[in-house]
Amino acid sequence: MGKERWLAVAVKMELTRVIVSEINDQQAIYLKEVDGARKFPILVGEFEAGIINRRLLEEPPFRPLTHDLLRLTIESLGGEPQEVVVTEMKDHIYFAVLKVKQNDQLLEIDCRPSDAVALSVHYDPPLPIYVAEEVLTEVS
Amino acid sequence: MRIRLQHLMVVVCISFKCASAQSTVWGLQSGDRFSVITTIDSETVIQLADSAPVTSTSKEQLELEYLVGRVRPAETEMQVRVASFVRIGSSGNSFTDSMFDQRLKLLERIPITIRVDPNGVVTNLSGYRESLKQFAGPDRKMLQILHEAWPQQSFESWIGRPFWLTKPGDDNEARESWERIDQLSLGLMGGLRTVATCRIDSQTDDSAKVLVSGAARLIAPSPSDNDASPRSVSFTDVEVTDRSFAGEGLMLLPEKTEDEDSKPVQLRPWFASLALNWSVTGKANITNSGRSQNVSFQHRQKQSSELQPNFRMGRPAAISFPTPPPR
Repeated sequence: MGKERWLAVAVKMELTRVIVSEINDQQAIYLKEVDGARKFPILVGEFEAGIINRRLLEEPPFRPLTHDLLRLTIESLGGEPQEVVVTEMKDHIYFAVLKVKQNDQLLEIDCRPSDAVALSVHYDPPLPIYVAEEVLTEVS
Repeated sequence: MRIRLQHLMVVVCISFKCASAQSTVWGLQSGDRFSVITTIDSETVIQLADSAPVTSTSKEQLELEYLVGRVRPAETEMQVRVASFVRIGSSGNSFTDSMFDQRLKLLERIPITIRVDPNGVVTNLSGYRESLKQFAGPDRKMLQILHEAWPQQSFESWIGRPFWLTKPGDDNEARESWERIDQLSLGLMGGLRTVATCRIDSQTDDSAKVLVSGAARLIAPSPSDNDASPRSVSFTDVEVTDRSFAGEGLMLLPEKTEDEDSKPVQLRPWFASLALNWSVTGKANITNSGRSQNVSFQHRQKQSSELQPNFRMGRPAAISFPTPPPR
């Protein structure tokens, strides 16, 4: 799928639930359509779920963790994160991009949705989260 | 015989699985932990007979954390604690507010325990007296006033309101409307008791919008309490001339999946948000140091509760309930 295509039909989402499980390996985040009712879960790693949960609880770490480091690095290099987009799903694996503006250029950095969402909640307000309409139609 | 026994065991296992999925409020399981933030926005206008009206407003945000303990077929036991309290705005005395905030913070370690039946009705509450004692500190007069201003029924309603959004009955006999009894404290003026009717207004596959309505009735402070009360100010002959109560909420519906493995994680609790509005206008006599005066009052209150996105499925064995601090 061409990037222009999913950009044109991306749907704004919000993070509505982080499920941190201590009893099994399945951690999940739920994204819900801002102007609609569609929602879907994305399985994430224990570390990412913990990071997102910690941010929602507004518990800043004593020392910068990985996503703090990522945020600081982007800022130090003059980048301005714009948004994150879940672009496609292949073989039950979601793909995402982080869009960063730097020197009037819009960079699209390939990443896992869990990292993208984790980075999103490191900003106040959080970076907007979008999901390609095709992905949303398929999974919700 | 062995095959029959195996069949029986399979049937029993499936039955237990179905029962456990349906028998707890919101599908909660032991070890689950979730938070609800409630924003309370209130305004009270009081006018003494010949004086200009005095308006007091307040806006607070309170986070209650619920930790699920024992889960039994008929009830789910939960520990509830005040996780945070934020005063967003107030027209009151900043010193008094600050003292109130500090006392409320002490409630964080008081173990309040509730039992909730599968229909979302709080059937038992403990920790009420301990909470008031913690709040009042060593001041016995304050404790008595708190008992009058915030009776157990109001306390129970305060903690249990989110559970209103529980559709009673199983799938076969799911009802479209149900009732809850609520009591809102109006402090020393008494309370508002409401039989709230929750009705499904519209629903999608996974959520339902619920409208709440009901007639609020004033519960006046009882005369016998006033006689025994150590406070210098009391309200008597409270009469309500106008009142209203309404609200709406959003609840999630249990996920229906034929193949349980197709959903990675069961989404629970099934509560999303609830907003309730009370309004009451009336008149009373206010007695201050033996002097009685007519007073008219108007009180409106809005409570908006939202489930917080962070939800933890914990290990049942790892639950440790808080203990009250030594006094």
